Amino acid sequence: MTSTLVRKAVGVTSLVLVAATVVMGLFVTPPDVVQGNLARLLYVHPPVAWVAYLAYGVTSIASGLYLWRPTRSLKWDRIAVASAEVGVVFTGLTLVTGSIWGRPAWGVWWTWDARLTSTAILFVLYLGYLALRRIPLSAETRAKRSAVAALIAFIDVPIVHESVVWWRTLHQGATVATLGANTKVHGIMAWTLLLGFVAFTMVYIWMAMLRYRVETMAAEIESTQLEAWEAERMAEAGAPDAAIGRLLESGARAPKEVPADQGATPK
Amino acid sequence: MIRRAWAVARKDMLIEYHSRVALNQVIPFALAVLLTFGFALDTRDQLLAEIAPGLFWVVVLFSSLYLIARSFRVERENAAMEGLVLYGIDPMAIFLGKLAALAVQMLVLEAVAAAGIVILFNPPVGSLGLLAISALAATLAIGSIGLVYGALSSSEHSGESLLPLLVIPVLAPIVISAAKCWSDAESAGAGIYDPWLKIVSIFGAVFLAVGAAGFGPAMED
Repeated sequence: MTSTLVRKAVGVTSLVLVAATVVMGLFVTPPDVVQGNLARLLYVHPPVAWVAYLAYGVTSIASGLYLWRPTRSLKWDRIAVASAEVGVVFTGLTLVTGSIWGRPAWGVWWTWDARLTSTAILFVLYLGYLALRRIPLSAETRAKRSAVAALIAFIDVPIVHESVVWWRTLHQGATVATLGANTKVHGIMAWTLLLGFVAFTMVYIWMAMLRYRVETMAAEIESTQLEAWEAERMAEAGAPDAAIGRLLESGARAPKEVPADQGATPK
Repeated sequence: MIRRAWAVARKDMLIEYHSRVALNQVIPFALAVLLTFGFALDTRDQLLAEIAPGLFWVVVLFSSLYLIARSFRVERENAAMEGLVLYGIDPMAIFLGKLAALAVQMLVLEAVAAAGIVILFNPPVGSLGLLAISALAATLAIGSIGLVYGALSSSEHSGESLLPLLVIPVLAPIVISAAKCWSDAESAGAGIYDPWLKIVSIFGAVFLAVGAAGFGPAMED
């Protein structure tokens, strides 16, 4: 099981890297001149936000590959959902860590800054994508519909971003300094930030791999379940005369032959 | 294709003519929400006039969701949509036809809601042209996106609460730009050269294209 080994290796690596980021971010790096200890969020917040965008990017590519006929495979659908779920978690973390930083830095948990607003919309957008996937449908139908939804979301994200930027800038100047604009990041701090990016990217890969595995296993269980039901039916059908006899005894009419095409679910 | 689209639109309008769901349920709902804004915001006249543009688009967006859900409910009953597909009608024709019927109903809804807003909250109106054109662009965008997500979420098992969750975040740019158009239309000097009108028109065109491209794959299973 090489895939299990790879997964375990990625898991261990990501945990070690996150632990290293914690040690570097909390104990090794000095507090910032301007922001003090608050600047330590810099080692978490941008990497987490980057992972959210990376995850949605992967979802979009996988969805496109599913919709494109030559590469159509449920594998892409599983990658899409695995990545989107991790993306939603990391978008949530982005909003939470941003709020934690915003409260002491700006005095408010939330402000209608362009970047914050578009991240919040992104969060709800992909919550919708995940909710859409919960509709009970055949695997192919669900894959196709959610791929369309993922691509619409992909097109929508830049539009949302532009509109929110215009919305905020057309009637007031950019009030919020972007993160790190008043902080010179260099030396050990820059290395720690880089470490944070690598660590959280590894965490993303690990989580997406695990989620992909769960999705594959769920599909396998579903198909074995179907086979089991089929076998059960076949066993029942093995004694048709007895079954019809029982039905006739109970006063029911003998079942009419159902043409095969009527029995099938409509496409 | 135009003829088939027209037939689909005519079918939907006839259903509305006989059932009067939009007229008897959705438009009164919009008016009820306008009154609720009045109560909830404690009838502060100045405040209500100021936020009228936003209130208008919130009411229109939410009410339109009912119209969109309705537009798909009539297709789901008796598997009517499959019937249309089996007749060999191009998904694009179905999309255009349903969009036309939906847009007509939405424009009536918007006219009534706008009149309600102007009467109840008394915002100044400077440019009717700006209001009308921006409303048309926003209507096409809401209708297009609504139809795609209506097709995507259409199933026996999905509650109708899924549609709003899908549609509202996607349409955030439309709500922003259309409400801005209305705000700008309040000043006497406003006209159709308003920068926000350009923005809402571009967004309207983009969402229309996205809707037209996405409806076919969303509908065919």
